[in-house]
Amino acid sequence: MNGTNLLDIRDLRVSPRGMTETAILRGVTFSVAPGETLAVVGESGCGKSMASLAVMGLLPPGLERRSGDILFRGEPLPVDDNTAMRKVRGRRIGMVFQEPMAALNPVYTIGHQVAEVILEHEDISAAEARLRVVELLREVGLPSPDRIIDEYPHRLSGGQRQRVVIAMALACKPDLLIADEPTTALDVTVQAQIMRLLKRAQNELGIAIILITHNLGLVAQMADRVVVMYAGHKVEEASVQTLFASPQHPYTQGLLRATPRPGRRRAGGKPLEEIPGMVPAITDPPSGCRFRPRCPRATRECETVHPAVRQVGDTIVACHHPGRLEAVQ
Amino acid sequence: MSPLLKVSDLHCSFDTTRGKVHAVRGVSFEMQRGETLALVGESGCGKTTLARCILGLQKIESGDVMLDGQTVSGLSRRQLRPHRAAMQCVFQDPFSSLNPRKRVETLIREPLDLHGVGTVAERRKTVLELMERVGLRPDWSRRFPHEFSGGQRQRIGIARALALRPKLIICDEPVSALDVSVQAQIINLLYELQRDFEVSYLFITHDLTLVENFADRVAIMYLGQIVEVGKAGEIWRNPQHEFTRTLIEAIPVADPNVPMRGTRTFCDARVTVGGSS
Repeated sequence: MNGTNLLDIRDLRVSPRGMTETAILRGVTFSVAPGETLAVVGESGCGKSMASLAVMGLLPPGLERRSGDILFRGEPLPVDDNTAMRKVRGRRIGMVFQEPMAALNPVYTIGHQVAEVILEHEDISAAEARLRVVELLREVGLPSPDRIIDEYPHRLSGGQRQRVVIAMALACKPDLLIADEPTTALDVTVQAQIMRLLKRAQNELGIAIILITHNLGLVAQMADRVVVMYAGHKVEEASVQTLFASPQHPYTQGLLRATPRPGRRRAGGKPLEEIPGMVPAITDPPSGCRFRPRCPRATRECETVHPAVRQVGDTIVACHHPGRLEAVQ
Repeated sequence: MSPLLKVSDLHCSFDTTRGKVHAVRGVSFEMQRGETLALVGESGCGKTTLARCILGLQKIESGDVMLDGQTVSGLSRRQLRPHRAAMQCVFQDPFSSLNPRKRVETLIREPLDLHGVGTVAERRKTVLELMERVGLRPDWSRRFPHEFSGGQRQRIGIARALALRPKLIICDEPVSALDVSVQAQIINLLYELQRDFEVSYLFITHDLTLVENFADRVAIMYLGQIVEVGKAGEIWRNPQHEFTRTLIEAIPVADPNVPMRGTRTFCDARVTVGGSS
């Protein structure tokens, strides 16, 4: 951790209010450097969205941050101070969520909603803001922006709505964009367009991106570094090259093998490799390592001692028995 | 021997406030016994409407659907009933497709009750066998759907679909709502059950990578038409239609050494702003 990081999350713990025993995030640490893309990967319930909501100070009402620091450019983010956070959200950190329709207000025009972000943070006239909005809509690749600006969200397709949400997120040229499953609700051809748009925005504005996703294809295409999460823990962190070439944690290896790979049809046997069992309930986690009940390498040690995060080669991994798996097909 | 399913020049359209939407435009295909045919397309291409037409849940405009040599399209509900046992379906959302107020044993037994299969005791036995077969513990039979995870609920849905020993199961995006690791479990389960139950799957999905390893043949659907049909591996290696090529290029490959593709664009007829129809 040093002063060059844009975002530092240190030992973040998030729990349901009043429940000291259960935790959604159990001490998660990672950082984002300026201009890089960090992918946060994991299956539903692993806590990947909660980490980003905690950064924005937008944890759902029933949850609270128990401990841990969130630093932005080396300074603590005032995540518990909503007034102070309003100056950060949209200005320093932009957000794009999974459901563009849920992020847009159905009763206001596109132009009104994008301009609102600009007017919140910058002292310019409504007319100037409108010109900026038209320009932004053009930049995110929407056809005839001077017409779309006066449309309502329901008149746009899902991909167009997500472009509008991206325009809002980029309106004040933030340093960091948090994209939480930004294309999960979209068709794959539209997904490719949105991802190219994010890449282009990153190159032009030099913004850093946290891409939260379960899609390892997107991770491979977009990310510089990857954090893999399981049941509220970071289980592995590595550069994208290292992670795909030599995953260390059995869960990462399982995820990679369970991902369908086109053009590599398996001869005979089952169509896909599976990870047996399922993600444990947060209210009833297994002792020791959370992945133990599903892990082929589990030993007595894994039952009793929770594995600490440690460095193995170029990888940070939380496992008693890390190691490369020879046949990731 | 006649094909298991034969769909001939099927048309289906809806009247909407913005005019007539021609959802299925002259679709023809055949499926053999024990075959898995994947129907792949993007949202709004008509793949689910086509499935509903085959199941008799949607009125068709013209064309025929033949199951096992018998015409099943254009029948009244009463006439269709005996055929329903032969074609079952598994839906996308295991949360909304199971009645939350019914116990698992009831949910799986219901098709047997409706079709009057066997005695009460026999049906109970069948339910427990089915639960075991799809990887659910039989002692969970008194539980309600909310007590199960998404993957387990999909197993309940599969057991229910298998109860009547159908010849065809239409699976409409059965794993789209599930996590990657669970998705693989369900695909493998369907694959194993196919051998034991000698059932054919019409597998509807938007995810071409998923069916590459699973289906025998793949049909690509675009704007209400099947634009390409081929063997699963062939389609991927040697796509013929421009839309198939666009689709394949847009899929992000889980390998950081493969550069991002998807620069190809295909005429998007679904742009809605200012759209007239």
